[in-house]
Amino acid sequence: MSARAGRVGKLLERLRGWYNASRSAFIGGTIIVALVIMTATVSLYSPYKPDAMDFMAPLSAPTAAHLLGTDNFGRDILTRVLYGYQISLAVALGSVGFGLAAGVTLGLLAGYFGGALDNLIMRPMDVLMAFPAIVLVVALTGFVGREVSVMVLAVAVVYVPIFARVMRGSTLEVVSELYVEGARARGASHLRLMLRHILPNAIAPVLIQASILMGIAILLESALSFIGLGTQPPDPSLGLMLSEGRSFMQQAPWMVMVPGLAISIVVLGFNLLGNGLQDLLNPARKGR
Amino acid sequence: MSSMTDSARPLLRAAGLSKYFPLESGILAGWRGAQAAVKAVESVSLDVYAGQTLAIVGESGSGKSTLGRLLLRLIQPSAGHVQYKGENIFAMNRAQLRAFRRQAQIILQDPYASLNPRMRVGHIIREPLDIYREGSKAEREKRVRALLERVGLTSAQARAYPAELSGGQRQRVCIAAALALSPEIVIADEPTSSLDVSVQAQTLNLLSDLQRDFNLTYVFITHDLGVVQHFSDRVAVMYLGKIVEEAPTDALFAAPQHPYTQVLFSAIPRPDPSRRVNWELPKGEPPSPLDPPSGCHFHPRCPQVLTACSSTVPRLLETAPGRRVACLLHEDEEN
Repeated sequence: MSARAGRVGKLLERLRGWYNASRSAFIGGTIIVALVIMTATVSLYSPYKPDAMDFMAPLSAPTAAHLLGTDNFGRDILTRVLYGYQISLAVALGSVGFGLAAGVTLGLLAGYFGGALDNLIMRPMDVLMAFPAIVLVVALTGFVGREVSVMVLAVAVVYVPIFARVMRGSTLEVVSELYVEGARARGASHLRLMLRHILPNAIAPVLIQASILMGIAILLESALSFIGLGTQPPDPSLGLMLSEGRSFMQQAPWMVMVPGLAISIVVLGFNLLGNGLQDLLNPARKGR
Repeated sequence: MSSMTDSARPLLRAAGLSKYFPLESGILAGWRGAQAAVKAVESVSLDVYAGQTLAIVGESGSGKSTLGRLLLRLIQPSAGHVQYKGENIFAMNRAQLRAFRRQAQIILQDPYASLNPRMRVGHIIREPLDIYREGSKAEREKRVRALLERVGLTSAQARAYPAELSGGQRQRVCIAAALALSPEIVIADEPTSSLDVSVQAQTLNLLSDLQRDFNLTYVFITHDLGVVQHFSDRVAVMYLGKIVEEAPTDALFAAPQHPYTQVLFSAIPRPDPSRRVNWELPKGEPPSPLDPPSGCHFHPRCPQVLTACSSTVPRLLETAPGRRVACLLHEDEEN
């Protein structure tokens, strides 16, 4: 028992340490972790299925049975929001993950080798950078059809040049560090220099960017679903729910307010996390 | 401090080595449009003999660090070559270069910047062994512990990050990493200049103990003449990218021949109040390496300037066995 108490105490102490290190990152991180746990386990505790209709209570205001009300088909809004998060987070994670992997690789190569390779990588990135995500999705859905994977791909393609650019800049900074030169003098290979010496010291700004782009990806997913290019009914999606709720704004304002708030909260979480990471990882900005 | 034997074959030999940094592509482009390049190192020739210490001295901007990097092929020269045991290091293929890097190590100037902040000390010291796949994992760890203790740290400090160590301790880590592969030659680029005076002395003692124990050859880049006197066998004095004087340490300190060397020596503080020195200070500031003076680069500041100095480039000529000076005063003596 006392051992467990000691462990709990240690955990609390560590949490307090994180809180003191950056309140913003701590609050943002807490929001994200809580949302992820809630949405990942929603099927375990929710009494409703996301598409189960309660014909006795359509457009019901929040009650004990439906904590955040129901929509025009009598579907439980809280349940749908939690399932909607699954899609939002999956799209955000997929697009940021792909963009991060490709962007970091390209940026690292461009920054490390420079010269012709730098141009070969970065000029197409500049072209891609000028491409708005929405237009890309419209074009892609035209070819492939309306699928979540298309959305992930489109957002990822838009993210690659952003990550590549940040990574290239921070690589350029680190590559001229003395410890990189020292490792080179010791015979370290290009791969070792890039992976052991440059990547760990250059990745911080990219991670900050990743957190902020996660939030933007969720907004993009909502926007695309809102205009009918993303998630298709009856799948629950925050943007789709907003769109469906529009017609019932007078009778059932919770139909738009709940998914709207849900989007705000998760984006707020990622932005707080990103800002906090910036303070934590960038010593020049400390004290702000 | 053995004297140089003329018959000995140099371990490292630089011939006509030059490094120009073009301005067009740099951030200085357009800032001084007409100038083509900074001549950081200009036709430097020197020999480094096995087991000896060659000090390269000069003020900041004299090109001594660039020379050090050229000697290890960390940058490509604009002209000239460097031979290691008779092999041109700039003509080496991958495998040869790998073998050369193993034998020739560098200790960098700033121990605060020359250690990867995200690697533990033990990992930093082990890395050269990993690169060359020396022995088994356990043997490498054992060697790391032995190296840590050899340079005066504890084996427990292998777990520390560089940020947890003091400047002197960090420099010891750099030294341990440089020695991990038992190199033949170590180029030390101002290894003590960013350390406290007391720590400087400890570091120098350590370096000199290690030289004795491992029969190391040092190229010691520094601006500290006090260090040079106690530490080196031979000295090359650089001014604006050129060697102006090269001599055995004792001979140089007994009688410096180049006016620049004389001026440098008169600036050494001596803890002896009864001794009066004739302050012979150079006139003005060091000129910009972007636009070095014509003829002898030192002529605008030289206390013994001749009229010919502004137009004639002095050659680095031998004035005594093992002694070379680039000064018209001494060229006249020759002719």
